[in-house]
Amino acid sequence: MKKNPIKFRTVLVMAVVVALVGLFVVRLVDIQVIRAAALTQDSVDKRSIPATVYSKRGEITDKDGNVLADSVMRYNVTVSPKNAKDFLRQTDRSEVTVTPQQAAVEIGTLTGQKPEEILKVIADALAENPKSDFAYIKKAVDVDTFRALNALEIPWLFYEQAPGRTYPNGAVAGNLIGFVGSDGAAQAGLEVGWDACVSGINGEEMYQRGADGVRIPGSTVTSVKAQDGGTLKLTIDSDLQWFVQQTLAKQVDKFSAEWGMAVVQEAKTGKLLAVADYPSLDPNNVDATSDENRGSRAFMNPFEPGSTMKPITASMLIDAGVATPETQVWDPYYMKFPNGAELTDAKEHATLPLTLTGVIEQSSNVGMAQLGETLAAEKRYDYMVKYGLTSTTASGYPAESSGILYPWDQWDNQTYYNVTFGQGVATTAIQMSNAYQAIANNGKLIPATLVESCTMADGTVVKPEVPEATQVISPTSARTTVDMMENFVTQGWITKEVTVPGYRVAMKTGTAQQPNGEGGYKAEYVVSNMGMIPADDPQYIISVIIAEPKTTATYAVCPPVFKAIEQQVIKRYRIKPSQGEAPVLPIRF
Amino acid sequence: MSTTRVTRPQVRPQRIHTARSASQRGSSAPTVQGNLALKARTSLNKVAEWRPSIQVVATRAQRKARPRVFYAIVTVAVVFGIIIANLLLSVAVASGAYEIAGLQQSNKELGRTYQTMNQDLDRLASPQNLAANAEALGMVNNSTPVYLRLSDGAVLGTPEPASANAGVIAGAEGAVPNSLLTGVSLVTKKESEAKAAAAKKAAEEAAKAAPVAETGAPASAPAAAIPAGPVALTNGLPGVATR
Repeated sequence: MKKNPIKFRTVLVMAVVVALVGLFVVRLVDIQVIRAAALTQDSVDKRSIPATVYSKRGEITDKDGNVLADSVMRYNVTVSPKNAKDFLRQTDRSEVTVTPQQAAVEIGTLTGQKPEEILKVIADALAENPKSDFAYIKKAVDVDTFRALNALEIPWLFYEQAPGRTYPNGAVAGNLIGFVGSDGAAQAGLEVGWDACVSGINGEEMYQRGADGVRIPGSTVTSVKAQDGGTLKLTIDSDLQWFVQQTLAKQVDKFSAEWGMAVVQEAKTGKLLAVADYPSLDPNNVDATSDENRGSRAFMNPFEPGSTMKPITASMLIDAGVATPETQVWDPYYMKFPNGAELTDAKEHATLPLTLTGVIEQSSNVGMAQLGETLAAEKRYDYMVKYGLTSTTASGYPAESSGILYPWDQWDNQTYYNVTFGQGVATTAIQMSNAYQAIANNGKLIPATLVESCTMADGTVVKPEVPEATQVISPTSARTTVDMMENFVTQGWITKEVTVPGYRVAMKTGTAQQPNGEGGYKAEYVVSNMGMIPADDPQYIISVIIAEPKTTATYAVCPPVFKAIEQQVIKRYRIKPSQGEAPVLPIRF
Repeated sequence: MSTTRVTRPQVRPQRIHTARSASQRGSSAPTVQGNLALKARTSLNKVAEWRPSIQVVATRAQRKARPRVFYAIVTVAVVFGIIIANLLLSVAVASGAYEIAGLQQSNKELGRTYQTMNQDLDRLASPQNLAANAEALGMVNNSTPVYLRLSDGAVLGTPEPASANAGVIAGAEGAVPNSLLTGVSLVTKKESEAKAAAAKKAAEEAAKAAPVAETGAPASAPAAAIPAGPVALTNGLPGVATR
């Protein structure tokens, strides 16, 4: 009986000990085995610092590799408003107290802000949340500014990386290239059209660091590998592009015109060497250009080409065998056609006996309409489709227009005649240039290209998909058309305006009315010059289009630009002086 | 007698071995055996030449037992070695971490410097800047292309002097803007940079006016000796004919 209490206590103690140990064991197993993975992950997460490895958005270069668009690292300057207080700055011998006001002055002189603006950012953030720990002072400062700010050693000033874009050549091809937003997303132009080529993929990694901020070796875990973007190579020649833009701009400004475009295309390859738009866009400073001028009109805005369409119509007539350069037509100033359509020529004149060449030389609407009629509307429409006047190019330029041309059976009585001389149909500058390219290249149309290739970060080269070249008209028809266009130069008023000594040129002018959007036509004209050099073996297509010049002598607006571009192209591409004399075709009978 | 006793182990080696090994370990083996061994040794001394082979031979167990100490020492040494090596390695790695961090930092800084330099180069190489500088130096564009045939000295094309106002930029500054060039001064402005701001401005005006005044003379000089009219180009543009 005496032993019992002791035994009982022993058992009790043992039971408690066993229970406690059991409890610990359960807990131990729970922590070490059951939740081990999750807890380890938690602890790693707490010690690890996530970091973004920024990929590089690819370059955009011209045909020779000159960089037109490049990526740079910029820095956002941020502030911890709750910590924006006085701090001590170590100078050579003493410590100086720097107030936020003084610091704001120092920051402002570097970022170009007023000190009040900086203090306002801090005050506003604190007013909203007294414990505010984050606010932007200035976004996207460059390296020099960042370094200078960093040297100030302001303890409440912080920085974050912000990948940016820079366009070293400014507005050279700016309208084509487009721009990216402050968030790095493409917003316009080829930056959008070829985003898949140039955009990269940002990487993500985690690493651990010691108390002194030094990364612990071997602690880096990459979850997403960064992938740089590819290099987009254009067919543009940046030097020529600049020259064309500059020359065009000068003339557009001189005549207070609305806008201008100029295109240089390689005849044998269809490559676009220069596509100038004015007003120009400097992608470094997008805000300086109004919204409607930021894109490339040459690709986006169809216009009624006018008389530059006449050589195209003539080429159809010759190719279809319904006319020769000598085909005769009586050309009155005014004519009413059996279907009720009425036409006049640009200038009043007595009835003229013209050949087809003469119709082009005189740029006669009435004459062209009469001759054009000899080919069925359906056939003419088919030719225009084959010339690419209803399709977009393979450029990859976003929002490219395919022009406006109604199917032939929807043409009204007026349009039936008007399309022969380029009214009642709207084309882009690129479409017209490409149609002339077919004439220059022995009747073979090679779709215009703006992008040479895309070289991915791993070195693979992707070529844009270009539709097959098509034979639009026969080589002899093409040659005859070029001869007629050359006679426009040699026998007309424009000889001196566009001829470069030693070189033969074939071209055609256009002065076209544009729809006013209310069913009628505007009083102002879009004037254009389109041609090819050298006429004996066309190598380059040159187009100049200027809208609404404020002058009565609209014919004189384009030729100086056309000639300047001709000369520049001849020099730049070392074109040999022309061989032989221009053929002389009869213009009257 | 002793002979038989001594040779007995050879007869039944197994049992004696176990017994001896037991005595070696200092267990409770009968003392008789020690005496026997002593006796054997005395007899050995006496008859040295007769029985030279009699001595205490380390048994296999003894031979096995002895290296244990050696192994223990080696093990401990290795453990210590590993600890020390580990220590040294982690010291090396830790100091390497600082080196890596330092190098990465300098790599970053150099990358930044490269970026700014490259940006500077690219914007200075832009056509706007080059053309503006060329024209500021008084250069103009002669837009009339002419070739000189080396084989016979014939001039292909019709040479014309460039006019003084042939500058592409003249009268249309900023038509093709490049905001990156803000603050980049022309080469002609360098001399005046040291001067006061007002003097600088005046120099700018002078630099702008300069090309118009200077260009005509040098460009028109070579025009005199050249025969007029185009020359027929029969076999393309020839190369140099070295004789």
